[in-house]
Amino acid sequence: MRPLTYAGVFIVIATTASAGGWLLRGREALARHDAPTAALSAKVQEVERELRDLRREKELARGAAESKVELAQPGKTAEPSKPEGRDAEQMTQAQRSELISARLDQQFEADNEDRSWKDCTEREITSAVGESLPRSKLEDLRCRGSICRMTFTHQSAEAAQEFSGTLAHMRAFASEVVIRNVGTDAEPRSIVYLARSGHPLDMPAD
Amino acid sequence: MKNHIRTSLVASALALPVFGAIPAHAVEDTVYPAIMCLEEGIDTGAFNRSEYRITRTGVGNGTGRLLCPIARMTCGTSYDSGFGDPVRATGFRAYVHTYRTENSGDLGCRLISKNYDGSTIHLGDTGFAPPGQNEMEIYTTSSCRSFYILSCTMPQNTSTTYAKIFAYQVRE
Repeated sequence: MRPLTYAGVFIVIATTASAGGWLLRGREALARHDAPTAALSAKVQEVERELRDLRREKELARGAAESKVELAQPGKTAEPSKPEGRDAEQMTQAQRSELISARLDQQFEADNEDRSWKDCTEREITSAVGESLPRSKLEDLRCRGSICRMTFTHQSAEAAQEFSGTLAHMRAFASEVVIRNVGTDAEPRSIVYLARSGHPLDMPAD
Repeated sequence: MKNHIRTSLVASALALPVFGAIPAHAVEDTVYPAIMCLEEGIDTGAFNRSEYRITRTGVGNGTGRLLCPIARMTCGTSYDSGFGDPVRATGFRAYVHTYRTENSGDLGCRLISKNYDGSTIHLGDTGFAPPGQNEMEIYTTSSCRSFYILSCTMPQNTSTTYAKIFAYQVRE
């Protein structure tokens, strides 16, 4: 009788443990897949497709360049030089920035409007920026229900740097923020996305 | 009795790997002394460092902001679910060991990640140190193509109020 009881206890422990483990795993899988899958729209897919095409083109161009070098110097094997590697990294950074913008723009467009939050936040931002960022100008500001999108111009590249440092510590921008530096050194501009407290920005995975 | 003990041990050993899946663990847990932090912009001498803390004195102007380096130790496989499949880390956490007195003014910190070319900057939620407590927790999403910084703004000390940062701890 006793061995049967022990076997019963063992089966109960093992079954409970396995069920717990699989439940946990399932929950993790759901958490990982739910948000991104639901959020991917045609715009994001388009950007991602463009990125894939760019990478393919880059690979083809690199292959063609290597073939040229091999034809010119049959005895030597062509190796990618360091600047090429850095350029490739820069390109990836630019592509990633584009993807972030596309996803955040999509989140902004899909966001439901909350009139009271929108009006209150727009007033707060306009007032805070006017007081704290004298060398930057708020050109455009739109809030919806849980996200705001704004565009700034800066008097100089130095003013653009100062802008990022100051904005990071302003009460009006205390929740999650993404700043994209666009434009040129001569005419620097920034696009800023601000999430409502407790509402995360839809950042892509690396 | 012996059989009972043996059976219990075998059952526990078999169940452990499955229960072991519950606590996901961070692979990096690095503590930095606060004296690694530097004044943002041109150093005005507003901050006073010692072997155990950094604080903002009444001397100097500047922005009152500190930039503290964070070495990104890992990316992509920070957590293990216990089933052998790596799970991508979605964020990282910092604990700022600090102290400020009542009415000293805000001591706020946030985690910042920047693309290597500086073109995109991500700011996590700002955390504010409560008076009389010695730890502030902040969290942000992780990125495999960025570098990380902790940025804190500190109130200026007076004859009766003060704020200090002793250390900061990063869990990836």
